[in-house]
Amino acid sequence: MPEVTYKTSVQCSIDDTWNLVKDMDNWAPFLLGYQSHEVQSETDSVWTLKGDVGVLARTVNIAVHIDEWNGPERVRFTLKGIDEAVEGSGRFTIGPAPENDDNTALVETAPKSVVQRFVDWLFQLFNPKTARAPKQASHQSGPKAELTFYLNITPLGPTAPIVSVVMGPWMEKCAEELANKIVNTLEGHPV
Amino acid sequence: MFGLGGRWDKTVDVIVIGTGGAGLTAAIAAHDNGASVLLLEKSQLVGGTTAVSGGVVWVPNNPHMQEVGVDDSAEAAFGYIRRLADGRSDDALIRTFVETAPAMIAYLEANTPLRFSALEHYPDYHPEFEGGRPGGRSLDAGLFESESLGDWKDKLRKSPVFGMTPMTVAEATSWNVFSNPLGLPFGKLAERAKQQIISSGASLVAGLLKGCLDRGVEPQLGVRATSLIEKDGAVVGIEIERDGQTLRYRAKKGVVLATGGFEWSAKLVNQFLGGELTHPNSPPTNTGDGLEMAMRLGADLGNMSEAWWCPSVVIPGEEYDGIGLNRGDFAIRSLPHSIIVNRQGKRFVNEAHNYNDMVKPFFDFDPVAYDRPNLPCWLILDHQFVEKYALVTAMPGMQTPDWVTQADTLEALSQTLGIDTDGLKQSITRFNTFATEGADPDFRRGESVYDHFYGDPNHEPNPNLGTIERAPFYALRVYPGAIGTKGGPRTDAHGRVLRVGDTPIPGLYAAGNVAAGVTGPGYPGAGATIGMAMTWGFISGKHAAKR
Repeated sequence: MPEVTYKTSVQCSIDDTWNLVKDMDNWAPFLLGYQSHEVQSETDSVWTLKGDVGVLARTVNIAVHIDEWNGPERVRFTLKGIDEAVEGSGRFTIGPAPENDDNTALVETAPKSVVQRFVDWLFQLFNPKTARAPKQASHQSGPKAELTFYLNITPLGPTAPIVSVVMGPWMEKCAEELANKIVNTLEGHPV
Repeated sequence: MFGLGGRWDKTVDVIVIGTGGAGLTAAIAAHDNGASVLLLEKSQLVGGTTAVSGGVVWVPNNPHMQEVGVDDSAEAAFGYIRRLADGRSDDALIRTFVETAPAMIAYLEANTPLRFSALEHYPDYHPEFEGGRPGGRSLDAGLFESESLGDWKDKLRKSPVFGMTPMTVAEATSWNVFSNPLGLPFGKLAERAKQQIISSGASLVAGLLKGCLDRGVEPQLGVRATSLIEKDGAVVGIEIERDGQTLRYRAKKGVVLATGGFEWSAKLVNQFLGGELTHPNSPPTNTGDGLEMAMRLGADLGNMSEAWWCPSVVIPGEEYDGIGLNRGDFAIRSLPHSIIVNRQGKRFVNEAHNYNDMVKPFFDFDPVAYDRPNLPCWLILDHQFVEKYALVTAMPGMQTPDWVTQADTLEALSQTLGIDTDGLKQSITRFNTFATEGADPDFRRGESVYDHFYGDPNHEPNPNLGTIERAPFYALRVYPGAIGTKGGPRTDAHGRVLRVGDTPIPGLYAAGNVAAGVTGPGYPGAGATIGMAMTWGFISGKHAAKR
């Protein structure tokens, strides 16, 4: 069963992080291979992704069901392929960043330049559904959160062992890219 | 063409353009005959069409045939190919091929990591013709541990069809991959995949690439040759594009064009094939670059109306190299409980016949109606098929995907597709009689040992004929595709490109699908494209190096 966990720190509060994560419209386009998604109810949606496993790319439709909304800490979901024999689950968890998180050394302390503010404005203009990025943390001791994304996908059927091998690299890239784009959005960087 | 007032950015003895079977073999041969070699590849991946193929090499009278108890001779092979060439090839070239191909294989086995085994049960494509053989002429390079390529393993092109199940052709045959797909040892195959063991075309290319790398000949990727540089009637170099720059490379002894066919150039396909090839199965880099370079130099052309044809099916949304993937149908149409019909609901071909020749009736022309009655056409199947066999990527017993048209009755199926309902029902009624009796007098499906190779050995009375009678009924559109074109500059027995009037252009060679095919419209057996490509690459590289 291919599974991946990706953990990263984000330079904004847990509440701000939750505000973005709780609305899938905010982060859906960040999924690797995202084509579209259709919200069918509060808990159900259908996602269309182009999965590229290196040898070929295929458009797949996945039904996603939210099992748990537990803001501001956790979203859990299950997924099932509509035209592909796969099923799986995943979750976002948000918690306080560890105190010895090395990322504190990477915090930008200088105030934003005119250019950076212009870039942020452009970003908001072209991503209207994105949650407003919180004000940039201006000192190393500002609020920080840790975002963890977990995903497992189980191919079904007799070819599952083979599909699992080729899916692994895609899933790792998917998790890393999704988490980093969420972080970049929250921190006001270009996605 | 170009004067030589400008400087050269690089000078070598032999430049080889293309890293498929022809180019890699040419590079090895040129190097081993004393030449310094520059090997160029337009894309970012090594291997060309060879890499996405089944990787089988057709070599009649090869050194391994006797190991599997099959007798052969150059004379038998010559007569067989000549028959298939239908008077549209040069006897001298056919003879050169049959005499050189076995030596090429022996040379590669002695001087590269490649080791071949003869496929005892893989028939020629017309095995019942005089000079044909029921097996043994097709060779498989087997498995390859791609880790031995180091970083180059990630630059190896892989097949979207064969690339995920590393198994030899002999294994696939013994496991009845076509008729019993659920019987494959998927756990074992997954273990091989984890260890980055590869097979099929990628394995063959990997062996050739290792041969090149061991000689210090590293392919330069992302380099596109745009024109040939001529001086006093001889080719003396090329112009290339690389990272936005135009550079001039000098070839003191020769340039070998191994650039593949033109199947992805709509302009050239329309110009030479009449626009009939709509769904090529090869990598989309085959755009006729070498052909156009040679044409600009005044090369004589041959076999331009021919291709290595292959019926194709499409799974919507699949992409390879950024464009829609056209999958070759090598087996589905040969299994029981299937037929192919046109819009009148009529069969028009032995569906199990070799892929090259069974596509040709797709283009039958009705001079009164002034159209092609067999296009479009569809594969029609019933529920017995999907219960037992894989339908492209849909395994038996799993939910049939929505890209397969499905209906509870033949009437509903035909109406959905625009097929004449009465015609379809009559065809199926007639076909079911044949299936019950085990013989197809209309199109002779299931007569040849070739047909049986892709059929179900456990189905009786005929491995290729099964009734179509159990609902639901299914349909898949079948398109005219090709694994490559086979027309281009004519060459002589040394691989030298000829001008009109049959004089060779000094310093210019062509090998593989870029060149005029030696088999005319014929396809002798599994791996004939690659066998030809590697043999002419071997001949060209050696001759160029000795200039």
